Amino acid sequence: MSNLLLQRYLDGQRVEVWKDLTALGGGVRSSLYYQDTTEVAVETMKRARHNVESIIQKLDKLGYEFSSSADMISPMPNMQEILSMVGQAMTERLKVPGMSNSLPPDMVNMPSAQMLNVLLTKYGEAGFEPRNGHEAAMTQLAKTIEVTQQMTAQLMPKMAERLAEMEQANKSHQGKPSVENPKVFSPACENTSKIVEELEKEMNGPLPISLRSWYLHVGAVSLEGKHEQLNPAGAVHYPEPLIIIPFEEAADFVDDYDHYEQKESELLLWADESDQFTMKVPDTCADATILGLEIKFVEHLRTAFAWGGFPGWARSNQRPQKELDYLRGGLLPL
Amino acid sequence: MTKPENQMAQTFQLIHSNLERLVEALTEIGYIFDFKSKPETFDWALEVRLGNAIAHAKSRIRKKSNDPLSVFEHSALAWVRTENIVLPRRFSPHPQAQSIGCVDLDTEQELTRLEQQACGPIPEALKNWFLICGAVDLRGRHPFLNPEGKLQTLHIAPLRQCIDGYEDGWLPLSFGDPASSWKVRVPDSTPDATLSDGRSFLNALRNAFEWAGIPGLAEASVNPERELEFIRSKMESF
Repeated sequence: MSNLLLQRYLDGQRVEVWKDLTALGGGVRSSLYYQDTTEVAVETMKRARHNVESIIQKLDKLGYEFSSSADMISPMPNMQEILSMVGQAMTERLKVPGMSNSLPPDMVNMPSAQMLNVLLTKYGEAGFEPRNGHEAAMTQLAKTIEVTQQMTAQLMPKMAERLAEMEQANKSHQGKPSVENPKVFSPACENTSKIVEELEKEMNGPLPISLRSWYLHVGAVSLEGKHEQLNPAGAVHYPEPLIIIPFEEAADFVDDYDHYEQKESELLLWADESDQFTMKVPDTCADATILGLEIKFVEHLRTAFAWGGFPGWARSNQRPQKELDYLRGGLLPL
Repeated sequence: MTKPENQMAQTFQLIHSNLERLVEALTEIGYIFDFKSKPETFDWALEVRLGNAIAHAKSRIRKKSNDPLSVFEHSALAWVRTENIVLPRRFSPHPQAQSIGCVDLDTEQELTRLEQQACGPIPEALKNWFLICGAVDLRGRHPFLNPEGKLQTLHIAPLRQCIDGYEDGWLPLSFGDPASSWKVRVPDSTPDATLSDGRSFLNALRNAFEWAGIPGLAEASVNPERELEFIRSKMESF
């Protein structure tokens, strides 16, 4: 039996076909539709991959400076961040009325690092016996700081190792096209299929067919970066560069949700400074809604490609029209 | 209900079996039944009455049962049966709960009531339908079979509702669009009932199954061959 759905898709009824597939709900898993739906999804994602590669190549030509969203969501904290966090917590503590009497008067205004040293010297000495509740609290704080510093010291070699790896990776990609840089585009590999199947088994249900196809035929992409026109610093409207994090990282987040025994898990697709964009899983449907955007995944890809990979420009009246036209030129319709 | 043993009854056993397969097949391919998807009207008075009676019955029942519907056997809920209350969907498979298909427990008495009201016999086919198949409501939506949910589907209301609409020798079997709603002549001494459009009841049912429970497809612009073939392969002829 020929695939009527794929034929319709190829004939140009792309939006209608995905609308029909979505309306079938879990019915797409029936023997009548599953094969056809998968073929439509594969064709859609092959086009998406072409578009992703095309946009990245064109961004290179425009002098776009790619950065990696993977670095931004890395769970590894750095020393400066830890000191800053502890320093802020202390500053807040010292603002409590009646608690700063026994401290040096200028301590509140000290830089965080200096303030830490004062605290450690005064309250962290071995055998120091607090005489009142305030000193007991300060001693506890000093111990906390000490432990934090020890932990950070243990993490430092690993961080240094990772930094070295990143630098090495950066060097190895210098001069190469960004489409070959895994921080920018990490194409699906044979292993992805195995991990997807493992996760589906663990969740006791499947990923939506569209997303599954993305992971198996496209991979991970991050158009995060800098460009004077396309992604200027401090822009009024964030251009929302297209990002889908690697499936391996997304799967780790699902594990975290399972840990808390939530019935419905959420798969992280990407995150920006303020929001996370996820999808409820498992889901037997052809396509599913991105939580945070409230549109279906395929629709999001369509919008992203319609704006050259920067869908945030849709909300702005002052767009870099020339660049956007260049980026979306020659893209395949989804 | 006494087990029908005549040939007509066997035919309707087969129709009942077809109905079950049809609902299963439609569900499998993503058909969304209105019964399941549309919000039901919330009857506050009924909800309060049910809530109180169920709470009272539960507090008095000593022998615990795994069957959640066993509470309806308690005398505190006898009014549900005597007043023939239509229960909300969540009580399905209670025979009085709204569902895709169900048979009323007091069908035989109701059929007798209808015969008395009509001053004559009810066709055997119709009797067997209500005794074995009961009510069915296949109204719903599917992107290929019933894209806008407007095509005529197999829909036969519960017997009590049909009797309430009995007028001038015609028993309505469904309600809504008069052009597509079925009604049969009663009294009628022939074995098969006759619809107002002249077709026999059994032939109308055959036609409905031929079109996957959506007879409106016969005149529709859509032609979902694959879906029809898939569903027809699961049906038995009668």
